[in-house]
Amino acid sequence: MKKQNFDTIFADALKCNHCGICLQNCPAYREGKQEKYGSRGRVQIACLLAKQKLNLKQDGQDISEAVKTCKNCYNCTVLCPAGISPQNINERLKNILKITTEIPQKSFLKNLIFKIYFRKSFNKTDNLFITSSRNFKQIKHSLDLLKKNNFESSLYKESVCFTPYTIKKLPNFKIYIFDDIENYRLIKNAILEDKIKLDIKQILFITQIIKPKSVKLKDDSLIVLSNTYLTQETKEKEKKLFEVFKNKTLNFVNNRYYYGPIYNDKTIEYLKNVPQKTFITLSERENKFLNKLIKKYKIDKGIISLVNLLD
Amino acid sequence: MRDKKFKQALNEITSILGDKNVLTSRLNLLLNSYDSSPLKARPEAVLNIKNTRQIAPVLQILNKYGFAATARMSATNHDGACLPLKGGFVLNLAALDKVLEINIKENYAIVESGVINQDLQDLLEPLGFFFAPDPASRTFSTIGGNFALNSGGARSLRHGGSMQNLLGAELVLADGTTLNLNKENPLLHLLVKSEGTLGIITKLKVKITPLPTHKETLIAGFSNLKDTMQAVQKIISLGFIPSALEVMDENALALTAYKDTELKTLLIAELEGNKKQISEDTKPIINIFRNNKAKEIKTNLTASELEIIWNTRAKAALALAKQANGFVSYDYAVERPKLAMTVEFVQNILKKYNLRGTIVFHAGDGNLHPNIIFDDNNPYEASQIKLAIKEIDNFIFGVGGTLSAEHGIAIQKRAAMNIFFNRDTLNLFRKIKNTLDKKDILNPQKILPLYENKKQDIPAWAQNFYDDATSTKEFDFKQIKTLNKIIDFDKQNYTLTVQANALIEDLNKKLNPLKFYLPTSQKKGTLLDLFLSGKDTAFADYVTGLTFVCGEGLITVGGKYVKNAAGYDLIHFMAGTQGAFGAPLIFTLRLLPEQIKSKTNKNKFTIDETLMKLKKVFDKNNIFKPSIFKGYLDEETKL
Repeated sequence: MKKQNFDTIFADALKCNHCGICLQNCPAYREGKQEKYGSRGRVQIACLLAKQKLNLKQDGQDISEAVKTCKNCYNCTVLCPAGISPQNINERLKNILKITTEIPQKSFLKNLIFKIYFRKSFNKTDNLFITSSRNFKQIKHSLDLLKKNNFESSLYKESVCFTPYTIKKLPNFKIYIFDDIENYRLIKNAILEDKIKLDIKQILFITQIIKPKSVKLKDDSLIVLSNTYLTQETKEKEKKLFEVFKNKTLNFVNNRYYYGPIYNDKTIEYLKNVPQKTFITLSERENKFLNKLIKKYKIDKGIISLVNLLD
Repeated sequence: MRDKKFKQALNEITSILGDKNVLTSRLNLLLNSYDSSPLKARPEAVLNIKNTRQIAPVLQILNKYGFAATARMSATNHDGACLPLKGGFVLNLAALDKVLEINIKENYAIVESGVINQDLQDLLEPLGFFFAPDPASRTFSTIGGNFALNSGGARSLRHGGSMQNLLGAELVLADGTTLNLNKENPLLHLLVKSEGTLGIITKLKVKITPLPTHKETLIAGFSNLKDTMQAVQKIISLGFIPSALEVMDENALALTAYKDTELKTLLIAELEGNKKQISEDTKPIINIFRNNKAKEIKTNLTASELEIIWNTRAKAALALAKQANGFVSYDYAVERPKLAMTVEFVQNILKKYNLRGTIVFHAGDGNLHPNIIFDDNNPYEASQIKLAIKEIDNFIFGVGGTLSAEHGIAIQKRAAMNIFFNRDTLNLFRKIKNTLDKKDILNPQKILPLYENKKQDIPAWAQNFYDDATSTKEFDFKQIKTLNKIIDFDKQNYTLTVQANALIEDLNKKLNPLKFYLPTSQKKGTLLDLFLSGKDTAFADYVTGLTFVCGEGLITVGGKYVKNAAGYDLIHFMAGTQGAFGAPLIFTLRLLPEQIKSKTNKNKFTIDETLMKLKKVFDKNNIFKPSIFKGYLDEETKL
């Protein structure tokens, strides 16, 4: 193997002061719960290679296990206070190790749309959603689906397709949301350097408004199906849709609308006894989990994922 | 020999946790040897704990062979609290991330120790509740870590830090004993806030608080620090308790959206309560801003503006990180009237040693954070920081402040403990640690300084009590009767330092006409009785300083500052112990601008094995209220 100068390749990684801000926002860490599987760990691997405390011959196996886990969500890059991109560093590690992993682009984005849609506290009219040309078609399709099913988007007023050449044509909105990290950085820098004059209050990358799953879906864990506030208009429609958890809701929040949480032992009884015949989940993962539970405890109910309802 | 023992321990643990969860590869060890501080220490093995029941058997094995066990979750603390100084085993508890129960009728939540602070907040918000401790790291730090170090945050001025929001805990001691502690048990706060040196927290029962109906955030920019601090002082001394009162200095502002303005400091005040109360409070506070020459005042901020402000505040420390690869953050607290001069002193020291840094502070509770950056590859700069911090330590001690308000001591501030605590207190800390963890396996060598180099003078007034407490005949509580005078009534700081046997009635007569109130609704008896009986459940939360005598000598913990995370929490420990562990002589209390309704509690603590061990540390001759432990201690000698 040709000798490589890791200290020049990973010069940016050495800027990391392991503050950990990216760690708990890394979906791979949330899943694996080990330093090795998290963004901070992967940057530190690069540092250790640069400092020659690790080498590919001895630790290659371990390193490739670690770098494979990255889900390319860019949370780390958005958050990093030192201004480095852990995701990009990981890509370089992958190149060195000649690892190629597929990014589950399609389902990832689809999931994002729904998560964003159900995200609370989002300002309705001031937002502009900017998609890259790569994703535009996919997203447009998903949004059309939403509209067809009478779900008004509370996320944004307008969505545009973005290329670096259209910077000057961007309409004036208070909040810009990007789905492409390079475009996000481009605009952010352009505004910091006063290259474009727009009255923008906030520039967000898509994953900044969605967080990785807060709790793991294990047998003895709690699931939150959603903790969304509903708008007045959609209330009636959605109420019907989510009536499954009404009793539980009353118990918890005195008439306020809330889905979940589901506990294992305590809630099995409850799940068995609710009058509704079907449960609706917001994501595929929750769907799988609920399916497992139902088989295990022989509960006679059906489960539909919301995504399927809309498709 | 050690290698053989290590292998045996590893084998036994592997049979409990499984192959996959015992990590010994070089990569894994290196990746568990750092935290948010510049310090490093490498473990010999990393154990992934998957459920709370695994901790006790693992600790039993480690205790048997005498190997160190250091708990680690997000590893985001600033002082090396989760670094394995003696090597040994790191227990990775990150997978203990379940919220077990949320009860909004009785206002509590039960969580495992690895739940992220913000995750709990997110669950509570739709239910109309929040969790009060909100360190700037809340989106990435765990609740277990928050409590082990008594983290506070911007809003702890009104709602208290971690210790004030603790209702119960399950933890495992060094020998593998699992303890379930409720609020009546004196051990609760002592063991939880031990930075993992006395026990490993597995579950916590924490207080949750209803969201305020209204909030109003006021922002004022000033052209110098002095004006800002005068405004802060005025707000505090008029009895307002904002939910947050934050200040950023010019260096911090330069890193944020406010970089191009002429403003030198920014003051953020957040008020909460009902609409009427807020609108009543807003006007006088704005007047205070004006009278103290505020350059810019903003009110009625929109939601997105607010988000920007709080993001700016939260990232003020981290924004520094861009400029260097080394970063240290300190967390002193002083009594509030002395904050201005302290900040000025710290700024001068930073200048003197040519250090790059910012100061942000929770002005409302006198807590300041000097954040300093340095080049990790430049040993000279690191040594300059050490000198600067030494000078600041001495200054803070001189003005009666605390070494740590919310980060804990761990390794970084360990040596400075000798400055801030007297000999007897440090000895007592040491004995508590040695008794509960005989082989020093739990997070070894943290908190306590390695070398003892301090003499202690006993003040003349306390000599008698000291002699009696260290003798072998029964301690006569009647002799404390004469201790009933007010030592210091600080109207500016809203604190009262008073001798232990002062009558509540007398104090009320003096304080109430001036609109100051004791933090209890009990009207009769002495402070001593109230404190030792534990009948007012929240009273100890407002005791910020305590001097007492016990078999170990004259012990002083805390002071006139509102927040404290230095050393073990002996104040909550002593509260409710009926006098069996020593006799309080002086209290420092937080005063309140209005009367509160306190809850009463009639349950007394129950004696268990661990308490009995500690009794022997505090009172080896059983001379303090001997009747309480008499039967138990006799029984043990018989056995």
